[in-house]
Amino acid sequence: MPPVAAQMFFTATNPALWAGALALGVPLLIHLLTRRTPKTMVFPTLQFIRAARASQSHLYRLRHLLMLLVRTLLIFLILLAFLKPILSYRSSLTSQNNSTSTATVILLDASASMGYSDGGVTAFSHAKVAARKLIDHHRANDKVNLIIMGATPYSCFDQPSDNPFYLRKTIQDIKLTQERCDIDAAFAEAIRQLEEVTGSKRQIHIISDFQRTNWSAVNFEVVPKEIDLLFIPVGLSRTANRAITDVTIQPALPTVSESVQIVCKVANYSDQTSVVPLQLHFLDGQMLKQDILLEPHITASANFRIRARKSGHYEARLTIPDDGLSADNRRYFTFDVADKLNVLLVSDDHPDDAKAAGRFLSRAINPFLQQKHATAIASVIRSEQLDIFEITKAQLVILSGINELTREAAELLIDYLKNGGSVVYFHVGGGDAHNLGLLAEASNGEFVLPFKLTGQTDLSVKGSYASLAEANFDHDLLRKFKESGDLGDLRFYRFFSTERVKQKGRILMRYDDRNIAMAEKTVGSGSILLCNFSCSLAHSDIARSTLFVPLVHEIVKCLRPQTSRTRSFEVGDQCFLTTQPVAKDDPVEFRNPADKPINGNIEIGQNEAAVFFPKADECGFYRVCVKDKRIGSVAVNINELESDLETLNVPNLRELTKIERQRFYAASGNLASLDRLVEGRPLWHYFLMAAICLLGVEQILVMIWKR
Amino acid sequence: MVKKVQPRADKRGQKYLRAEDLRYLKNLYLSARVVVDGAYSGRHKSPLKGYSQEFTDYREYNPGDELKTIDWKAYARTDRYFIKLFEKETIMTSYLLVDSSASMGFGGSNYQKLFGTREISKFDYACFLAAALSYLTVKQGDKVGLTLFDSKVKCHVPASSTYKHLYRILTQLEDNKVGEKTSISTVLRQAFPLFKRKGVLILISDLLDEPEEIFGALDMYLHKNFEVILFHVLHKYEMDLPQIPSVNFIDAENNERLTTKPGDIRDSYSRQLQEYIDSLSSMAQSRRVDYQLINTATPYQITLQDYILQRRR
Repeated sequence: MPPVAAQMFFTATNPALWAGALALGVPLLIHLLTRRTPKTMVFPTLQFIRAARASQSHLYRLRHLLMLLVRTLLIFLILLAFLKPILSYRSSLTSQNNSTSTATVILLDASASMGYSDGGVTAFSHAKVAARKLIDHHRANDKVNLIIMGATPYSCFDQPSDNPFYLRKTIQDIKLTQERCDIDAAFAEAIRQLEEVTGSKRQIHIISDFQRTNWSAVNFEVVPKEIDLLFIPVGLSRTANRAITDVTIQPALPTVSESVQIVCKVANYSDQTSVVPLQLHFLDGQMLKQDILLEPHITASANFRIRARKSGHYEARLTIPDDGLSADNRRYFTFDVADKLNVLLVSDDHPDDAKAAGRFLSRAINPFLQQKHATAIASVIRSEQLDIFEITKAQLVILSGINELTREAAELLIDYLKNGGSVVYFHVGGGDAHNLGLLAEASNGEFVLPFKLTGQTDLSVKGSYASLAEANFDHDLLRKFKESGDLGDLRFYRFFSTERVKQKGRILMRYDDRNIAMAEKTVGSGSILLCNFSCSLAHSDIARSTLFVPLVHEIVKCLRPQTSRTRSFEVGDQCFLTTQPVAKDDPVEFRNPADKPINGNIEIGQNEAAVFFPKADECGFYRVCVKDKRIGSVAVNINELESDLETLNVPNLRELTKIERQRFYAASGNLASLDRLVEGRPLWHYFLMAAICLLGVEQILVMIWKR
Repeated sequence: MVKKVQPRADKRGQKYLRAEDLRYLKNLYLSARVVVDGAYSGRHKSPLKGYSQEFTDYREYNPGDELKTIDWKAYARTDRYFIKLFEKETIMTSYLLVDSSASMGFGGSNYQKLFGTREISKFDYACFLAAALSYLTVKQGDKVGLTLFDSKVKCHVPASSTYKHLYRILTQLEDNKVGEKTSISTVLRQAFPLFKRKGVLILISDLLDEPEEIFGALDMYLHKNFEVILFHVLHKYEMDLPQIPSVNFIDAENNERLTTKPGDIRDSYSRQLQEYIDSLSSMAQSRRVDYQLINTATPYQITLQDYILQRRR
């Protein structure tokens, strides 16, 4: 594809030969000379010549003029060939006269995808060569700066400089990153720098592989109209990359001896079907392996099922064989295995109230007297104690018998829900109606109650009660209670009368008076289970029932987060983690994936410590150790979007940028094209070829007319 | 001391009839196609009956006829007197009309510098042809006369059949110079009374005149049962214009000038000339006139030989 250019300029690189234009007069001179020196001949049959001339003279005069034109054009073409003309696409980019300088910012993509190679040099190497060419092409009064596009843009100078030597050295020294580049930030920096320059033509040259996943979202409208853009694609048009793009753990926080499923996704961005050996490595040397069939342009999933023998922090690595882009052929991840599930029970019941719901719920969650036997434990707090520290440790939050919540608490719960947490709310009256309204309000419309609260029903006054009449046994929560039939024996004395809001939430149980007893509603990634009853003996007899403990455990089991993407940072991020508190005197050491010490920061709190690593610059595990013992780690991988190497071609870019043609320049994807764009396309051979063709035409015409 | 002067060999009469050319001509014989008038016996058919090898008819004897003419064998068979009639053969009189107008001078030594090679002029060619025909005619015992003309008759040599007369013709040809513009029809009318006895009229010219005029004049001769032979002599550079880039053409007879590039008009010129030749040829054919186009590039011996062989057929 030819370079797209706004304007094309014809420039002679050998202008001294313009003097040769005098040669254009040669055919004319010959024409005139031959006309003026006819030979005299006495001729008898002049009448025939006169007649012939009368009939042919116009035609032959035209032929002569045509031949004169052809021969003049022939000399003109030869002259043009010797002038060594070039067709310069960048003439408007490059200042034509010495009085006007240009200020250029070169954006050099150093993201992970630029490391792709199909056996030859990487796209990044091409990009460096292109950058070097662009810098070399600028003249002494031009100003240039180089911004390396990574997670944060790195600018060689504060503004475009007329010192290209440092830029050349920088280009020589820069290394490819495994980061995902922040294109918008790089553009913002380039625009800021160019806006400070006055009196020059301003340009931004972008050297990148123009990955569709990265560039399709870039807003080019922020580029002022005075700034021209030059796009230099250096990516390979046909790539064959495979990458591990995602790892999830099911359940999200497994407990000891529980079966854990590790689900990994492997994407095939090539046109070939292949069977790839996928290996799962653990830190202790354990390795699991399975082959995965990858169809072209398909992301396939593979499951590894393991059972953790002990609790703790696990580090693991998934690998597939290396290809053109090796950084995405391994994926690091960590996960924690807990001793027991942590349920946060928020209740404002009086501690001495023996019939209070909180007491029954707490005992139902952990029915064992000793904690070591428990599979789940309840941390009981009052509603005013609800804060981010309490809530982040919990796999499930149960609200029962709470007073009116504060706005902050409601927002905290909504955030917890949106981030994938689960909340069970037992509500019967008091501040519950207010709390439900407050939660709905704090969610900004994301949480809509599946029913309206139309009033309060208190059947205990009449000595009556309500029973469950309908249950949705298709739901995982109730499936196990379908056969027992005990649910119908439960008696409920006090609850809210409700009115169904259609298409909102899922109704699990109804009372015999059609009021809703239990409903589920998803909020963000999490879900809230609304129980229109209380476990207090004053409100129901559910706590007395034999199915109470199983029901509570089913609720905990079903509502705990099932799937969690493994916590992973990207290269270029500043990683952090929370870990167990350490003594202030303990020697804390931070290590990078190569196990070399790096700088880091730890803030030690009462219950835990927050660890901050410097900006991650490679994939792997960043660890914090105390006395050579690892107390925490984070996994760092490349962004999965870097693996999709589909690129935008020049027409795509033209369409994407939506900038006028006068400001849009693009090379067609190879360095030769860049040369043509920067130095112009040499044209002399075309003129020479045209001259030869014209000579042929002239000979043919002569032959025809002679005949 | 008396200086002995060697007598100079007389070269006159040898310019157009060279000794080496005679061997081409020795076996040629020019005969008339029409019956010709002649007072003397010869090879050619006469309208009169006489003595010859060719029997034509019987007729009854009349008093006064010679007795030797009686066919006695016929008398024996029929008992009547018959005499045998034979076709009379007489001599042919050829009248050569040679154009010596200015246009006939084209292609001579004056043009050597222009063409780069020495070319024969049309007039020289016509003279060679006339000399050869004269020789042939005299050699076979026939009479030949010569008339040179341009716009008028310049010289007239009456017909005779002696070698002395041939010598006279040859010297006349040598002495002649090309003259003024042509007027063939005028000359033909002017010369008509000069040709007293019917015979063969051989016109050697470039025929640069109006064809209708020429043939109008020739009709007089045809009416008088002359056999007319036209030798239309054109120079090779008239038939195909010379390869010269640009030429200022000057009319040979009226000095009109015209500058052009021969290459440009070559095709058209050839067409024009061909049309003219075709018109001459068709008019000649319609009058049963022998028309022979001659290119000076062809040696006259070949031309003559071909023509005579063609005539026999």
